[in-house]
Amino acid sequence: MKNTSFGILAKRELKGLFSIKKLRVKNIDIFGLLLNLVIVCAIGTAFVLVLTGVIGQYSVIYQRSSTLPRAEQLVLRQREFMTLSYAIIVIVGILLGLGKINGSITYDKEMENLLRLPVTNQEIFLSKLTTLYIYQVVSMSIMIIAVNVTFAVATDRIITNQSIVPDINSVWFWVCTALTCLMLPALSFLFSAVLSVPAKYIVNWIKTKYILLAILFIATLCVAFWLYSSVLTLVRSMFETGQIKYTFSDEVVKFIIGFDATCYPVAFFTDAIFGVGLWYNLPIMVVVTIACILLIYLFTRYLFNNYIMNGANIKKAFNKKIAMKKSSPFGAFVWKEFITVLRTPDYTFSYFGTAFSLPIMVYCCTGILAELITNMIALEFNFEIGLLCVTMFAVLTNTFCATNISREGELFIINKSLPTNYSMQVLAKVLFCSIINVISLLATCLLLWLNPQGFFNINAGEFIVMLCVSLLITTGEIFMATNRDLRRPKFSIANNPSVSNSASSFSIAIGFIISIALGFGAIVLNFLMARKFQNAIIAHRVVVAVVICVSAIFLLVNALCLFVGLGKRVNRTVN
Amino acid sequence: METQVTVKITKLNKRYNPSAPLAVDNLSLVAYGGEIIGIMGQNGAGKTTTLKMMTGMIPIDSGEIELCGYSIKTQPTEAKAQFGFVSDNHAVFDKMTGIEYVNFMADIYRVDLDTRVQRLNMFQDSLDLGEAIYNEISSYSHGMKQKIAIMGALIHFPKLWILDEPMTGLDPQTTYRVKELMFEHKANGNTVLFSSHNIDAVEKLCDRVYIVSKGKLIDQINMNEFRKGSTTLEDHFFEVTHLHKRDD
Repeated sequence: MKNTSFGILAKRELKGLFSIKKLRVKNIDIFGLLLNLVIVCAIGTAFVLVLTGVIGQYSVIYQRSSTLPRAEQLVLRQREFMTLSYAIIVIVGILLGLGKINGSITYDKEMENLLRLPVTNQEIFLSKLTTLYIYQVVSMSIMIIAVNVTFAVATDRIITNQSIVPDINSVWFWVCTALTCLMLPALSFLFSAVLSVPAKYIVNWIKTKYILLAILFIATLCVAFWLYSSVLTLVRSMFETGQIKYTFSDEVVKFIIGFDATCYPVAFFTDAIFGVGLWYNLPIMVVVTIACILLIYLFTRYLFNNYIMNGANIKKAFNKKIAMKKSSPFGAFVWKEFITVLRTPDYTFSYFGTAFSLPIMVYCCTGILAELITNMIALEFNFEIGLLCVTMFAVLTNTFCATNISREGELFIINKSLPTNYSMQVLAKVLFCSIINVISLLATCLLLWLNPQGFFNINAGEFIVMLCVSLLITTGEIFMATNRDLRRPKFSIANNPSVSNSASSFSIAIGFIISIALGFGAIVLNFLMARKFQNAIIAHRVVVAVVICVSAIFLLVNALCLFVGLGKRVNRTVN
Repeated sequence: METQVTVKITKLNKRYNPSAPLAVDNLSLVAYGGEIIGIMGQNGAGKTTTLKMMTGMIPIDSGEIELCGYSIKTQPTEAKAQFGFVSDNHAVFDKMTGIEYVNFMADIYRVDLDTRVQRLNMFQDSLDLGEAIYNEISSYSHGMKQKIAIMGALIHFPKLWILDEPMTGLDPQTTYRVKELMFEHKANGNTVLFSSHNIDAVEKLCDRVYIVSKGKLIDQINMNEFRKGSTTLEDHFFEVTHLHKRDD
């Protein structure tokens, strides 16, 4: 395969899909690497812990809750749970596949280059399809192995005498897991392939509806956080009231049983891992997989030949007649920043999406954290906790500013030929980010102050202080991130607006440290001052004064670092 | 009538890193109003580096560049207001529509509203982007990007128009229109200065030609005089650069 066109193309595709690059020591983003490691470990640990806990408790709660006779059969309950888990994995796989198919089999510059090469369309298509399938297998295997192993370990603790339950020590368990890893992705990939054409049409239609897209992003993030908060509140309340035991009513149990009974071909995989009807389940699984692969081939070939090769996915640019209007050079630069972010979906999501959903994110998390801490230490620190959450989330939002310079790409150097000074151009970027920051923080602090759900309590004075402090900190962060990016820019290339540089992870790390230090520092200081002065009002005033001073110093230092000698630094930065 | 000096480059030097040879070596040149100047040379001869230093995109190691009497080192903003620049890669703000880009450039060069509308109509007549001017630049073809870059560069009617490889990848009609605009700009008493590999275009368009090789200025040709002779510019170029038309 190595020397064939297919082999060369497939190798190239694999490198692109898995972002395999030669790492140079000086290019390694230590902050980013550590941050990713921490995030992956935290998510992985949380996933395994939650899954183990849920699986462990599921059958027991299920058994207690339902009055149906079948509910007493633990193995059946576990089997149904496994079918549910696999169904969820398939759905995640469909979404992953959808993104990859539409991202890979697209008519773009890269495809143009490939089509010029002395290789057949069939070879290009097959190399892309094969690598996409490999990607699907790898990404879904991580989920399948995690679920299977966790499931086997958790159920083993509950019932040890029933050999039918997956046994982690058996060869069959691992053979079956391996088969599932190879075959289940085919199923999800088929759905992805079928959905990819309509999905592509929707994406292309919405691609140039920038305002609608921004609203969708913001709404999605807000709804996601609201749902997260609601589910968390509901689960907590169910635990507190004991209602959790009755979650699985007869109706719910009937639905789960019905789902398990009809969720084919996913249920074949569950049957296999439980060792049920192997002599017919295994051949069926193989047949289903082959059928899926054939259908995937036909669908994606249709997509490739009739859709991509006809250039149907080329973006239709809008043709709205607008009149010219005059503004100052500085205003023109700020406007340019705005439309660049608005008209680049990646940027809209990572900046407008997060900045304008900040109020909901903070409001949901502050309520939960405030209640948690109050329950733990029996003291109310609403202002301090609010401050911690506001700054922490706002800092994350503003990491976008760490690409203020890099985003310009090749235009950074061209802009130097314009008759404006460099400080003005950088100031326009900083001002644009600051405007978004002010709107976002004002809405956030207002929501905390107005507190429509009544679980959080701050007064008007605290609202003003919280707004001022968070503005000082986040504006300081905007300066810091922009400055860091200016020192080590990693310019984006045309047609690939995604920029990820060390300034982003540096800014996240420093922002986190500052917000946590400020939030928890304020709680500790308040506690100590209250003990010292024996007066809560004085203690609170001391905390407010200290927090304002620290934030103001942070802003001042970063402003000086950015603006002193800015012209010289911009002049030195050459692509 | 006294002709204005629009470009005066004196003993210009540039080295990208200490171990590399000079990218521009002691280069001096001058351009006047009402002239079309061509800078010719092989790849890596120092043409683009010279243009980048002229436009303030990269710093100068030593030497001086004056544009319409303003030093690019000490009066950069004033100097940059005198020229319009079209880069070789037509780098423009992709996310803007054509009209937004022209409007942006007019804002930067402080062109009043009536004037910019009038000039845009004039450019539309000659370059003819049509309704596409209301489309996002990212959807433009190579030639359309070149047209919008030219409109943006000329919206303030600069005394000096600098272009880097302007004819590369253009269709015959666009090439013809760009040439027409160059002649028009010259006829208004302004200077057009461009770098090119295209010997035919340089021969037909230019009043004077500077040939650079390995960062050094090796020849300066007055095309009015040169055209009277029998040698072609192509032959002359190969002669002065000591290059051979074929490797064998």
